Amino acid sequence: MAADTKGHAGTPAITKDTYNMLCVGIGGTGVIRASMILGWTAMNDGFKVRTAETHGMSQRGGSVSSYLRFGKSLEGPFMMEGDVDVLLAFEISEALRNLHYIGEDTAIIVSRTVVIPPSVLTHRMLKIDGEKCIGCGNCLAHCVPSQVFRGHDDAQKQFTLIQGEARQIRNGYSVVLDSCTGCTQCIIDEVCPFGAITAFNDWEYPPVPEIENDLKAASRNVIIVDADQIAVQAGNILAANVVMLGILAGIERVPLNAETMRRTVESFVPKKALEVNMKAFNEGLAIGKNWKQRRG
Amino acid sequence: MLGNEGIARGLYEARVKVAAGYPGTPSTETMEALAEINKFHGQEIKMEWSTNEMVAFEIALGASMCNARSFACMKHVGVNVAADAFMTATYGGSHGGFVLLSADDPACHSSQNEQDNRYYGLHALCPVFEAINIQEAKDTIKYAFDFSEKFHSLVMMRTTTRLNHARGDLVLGERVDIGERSYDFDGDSARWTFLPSNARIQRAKLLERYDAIREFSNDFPFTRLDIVDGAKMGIISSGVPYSYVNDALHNLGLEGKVSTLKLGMVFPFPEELMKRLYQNVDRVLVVEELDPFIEDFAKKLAYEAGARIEIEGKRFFSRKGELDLTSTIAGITKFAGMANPFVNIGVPTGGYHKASPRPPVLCPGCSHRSTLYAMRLVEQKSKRKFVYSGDIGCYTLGFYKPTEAIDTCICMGASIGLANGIGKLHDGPVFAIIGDSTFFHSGVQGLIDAVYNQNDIIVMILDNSVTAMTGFQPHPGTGIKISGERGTRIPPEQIVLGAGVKEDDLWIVDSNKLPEVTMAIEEAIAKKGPRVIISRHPCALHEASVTKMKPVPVCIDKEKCTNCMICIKSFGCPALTLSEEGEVVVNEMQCNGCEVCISICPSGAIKKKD
Repeated sequence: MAADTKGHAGTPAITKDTYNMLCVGIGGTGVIRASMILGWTAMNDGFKVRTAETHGMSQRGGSVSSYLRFGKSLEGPFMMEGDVDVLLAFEISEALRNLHYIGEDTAIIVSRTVVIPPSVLTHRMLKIDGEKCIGCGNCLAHCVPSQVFRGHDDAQKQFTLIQGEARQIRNGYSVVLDSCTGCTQCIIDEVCPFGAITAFNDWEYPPVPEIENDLKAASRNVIIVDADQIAVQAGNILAANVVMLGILAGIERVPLNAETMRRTVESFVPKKALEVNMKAFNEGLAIGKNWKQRRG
Repeated sequence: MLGNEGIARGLYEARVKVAAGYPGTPSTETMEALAEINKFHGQEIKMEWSTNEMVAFEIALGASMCNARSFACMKHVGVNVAADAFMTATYGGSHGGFVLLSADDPACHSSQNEQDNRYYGLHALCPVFEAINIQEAKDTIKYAFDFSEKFHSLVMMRTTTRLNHARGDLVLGERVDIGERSYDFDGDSARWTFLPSNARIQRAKLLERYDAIREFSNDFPFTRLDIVDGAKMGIISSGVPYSYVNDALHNLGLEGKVSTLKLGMVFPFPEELMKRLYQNVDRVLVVEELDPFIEDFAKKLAYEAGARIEIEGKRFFSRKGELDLTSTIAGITKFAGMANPFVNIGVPTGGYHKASPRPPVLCPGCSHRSTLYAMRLVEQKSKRKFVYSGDIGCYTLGFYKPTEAIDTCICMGASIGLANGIGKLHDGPVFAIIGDSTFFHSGVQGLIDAVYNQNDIIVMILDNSVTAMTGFQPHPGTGIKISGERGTRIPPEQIVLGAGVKEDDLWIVDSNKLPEVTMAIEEAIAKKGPRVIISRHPCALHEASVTKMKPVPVCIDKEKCTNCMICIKSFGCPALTLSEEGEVVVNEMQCNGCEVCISICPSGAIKKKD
């Protein structure tokens, strides 16, 4: 590959023999695309490139990781844990999931995108404290799912009825059956006079401010941005990954030329989306440069 | 370039004439990339997606008999399907070059097991090649055809996910010159007809070939022995793990201080090279993924050669899952008795929140969700215990909450076979849940068995009219060929009726019309004998990519919504979620407009967006 852009103004002067980047997110957030752009940028800058992807079921809402290494002397696609130069997280909790790849000097660029896994909602459960419950049936009368079923008796769609009532009185105690949807309306409305009903979820998505605190505690080099919003302002939410790439180019933690990257982005996006993507890239670049300047 | 694209390029450069395969991660893109190349070359390669791996293997073998360079493409478990043909085919060997791609999946990224297919080489006496990177993969598979024709032997090219799905730079090569060939059947019937009398002769020839290849393995162009003078330690490795060894030695500053043997052909073993390594070092570490395939032989050879050296492998590396640079460095430093300088380079990760698990789920608008949901509804109403004998495909994700409507998944087509067994004993309706492509692959035989023996099962064919899990490949039910040209469409119902299922015992419903589906299931469970329901609706993702139409999303009527969460908790469509305020909202980016949720909402709060 011709190193035609080598030495261009704007190529950060860093000398190591291998650079490691990790792009993480979920299917549809542009992880693989961003990683491909980075790979081509590195190749166009004359580096040897290796990437590996973990994406078997990404289209079905799973996590995606793309490991990307470039440099002069490397063979395999994996870096050591703790040896990542830049972690790009296209979804905020995915940054948390990959903390074990972060080292002292890792720069972390995180999009404040929140995609709560559907399975978190389906894992929310209620439980009834048998010690407190006296079997008064108050909750049964208030149960929203069971009420709506009753009010729906005459509807032609018979299958909505057979879910039945979410609670039944059994042996004098209320029990939650399979068909409880965990809507927690009974808790919100405080229908249980004895406070016997509580919700629990073993798959909780951590609150975003706490994720941010964790990331900042783990690393001194964290940039958290509203990439989606910046992309929307640029004209299309789909350009969020290009915002992230712009930031990466701006902070100059790896020796990728911003101009090469801009041209690589150009070659990846359709003509009609070019303006939006260039705007997104420049926005990101400005954020990155600004961050670098403030760091001195 | 993707690893599989590199392999496809190698096939093109080797002038492959016939290529057949069955989609399976991580092998699929090889055939797709080759089909793409083929479009630019007047379809000179005769290609097909076959109904299953055995058929694909046999097609390639038949083509080899006609002197064509031929290629069969499958994932590791696909080789099990082809194994019946494979185990005997090696007796006869190849006429035109024959290469089988076995794409293994250590760590089960997208597979039901992580079997180590190098053992197939040992089992069938078939040479097995491995490559360390994309460039070498392209060059090796190109060379494999020359090799196959030189030794009249089949070749298995074994890759792993980290090669198939890796990306990297690739230098293209020239196409080889194989001259003008005639492709008529070679007429050597005694070689290809494995009657016992012929088979015994071919077995002897196979062993002769094997000996010749064993000898040659020491000169194999992609095998390399680097003896470092004075080095006490040696490493043997192959494939992608060798690339980790390379990087590990670099990071540890051990480059040029350790002797290495890199195997390009992992079977048969290059005994002379291994012995030469033994003579030069005191200790040998074998770095390989999964089972101790090389290690076991290395130890055996050392014993035979009387080499008094220490050989280790799996004592330092896991037999489960895949290796990476971190684990390779850990193993090498431990073996070398040195401190691992990289053990604490990461920040401490304790004390932080844990990210919630993110298992894959059925897509928004997936027609399988609606069918599986309908089955659970009928089960609850009937108060009987249904058994959901599942199969390989997207619908296996129905195992997870909230549908939890998959009880088994073993291998392609097993749903019907297992159901036949369970149905003999279980008191309650037994369903075999199988996708359309899987039904054609190997479900048909189980159905014929069910009809023949009058087994009491319901076969639920989830027909989304594409091989969705592996990325939308066509199959006999679509009638589209790999080239995009039209073939003959075979509707599954024709096969079902042809297999002897009575017309009264066959229901064909639209998956996304819940009342229709539930009614069919209710009718079916009231009857006995072999019954079939075909629940059909195109895969939402595939349909969107074909029609290029923007689906009209649904929206929530906030006045009516009681936040009962049935749509989220029981139905589980990812496009329906909770807002920060805790209200049910539609993610319009994700909604595919299937409208099934409209009919499950008890309050009539979900409606089509104006």
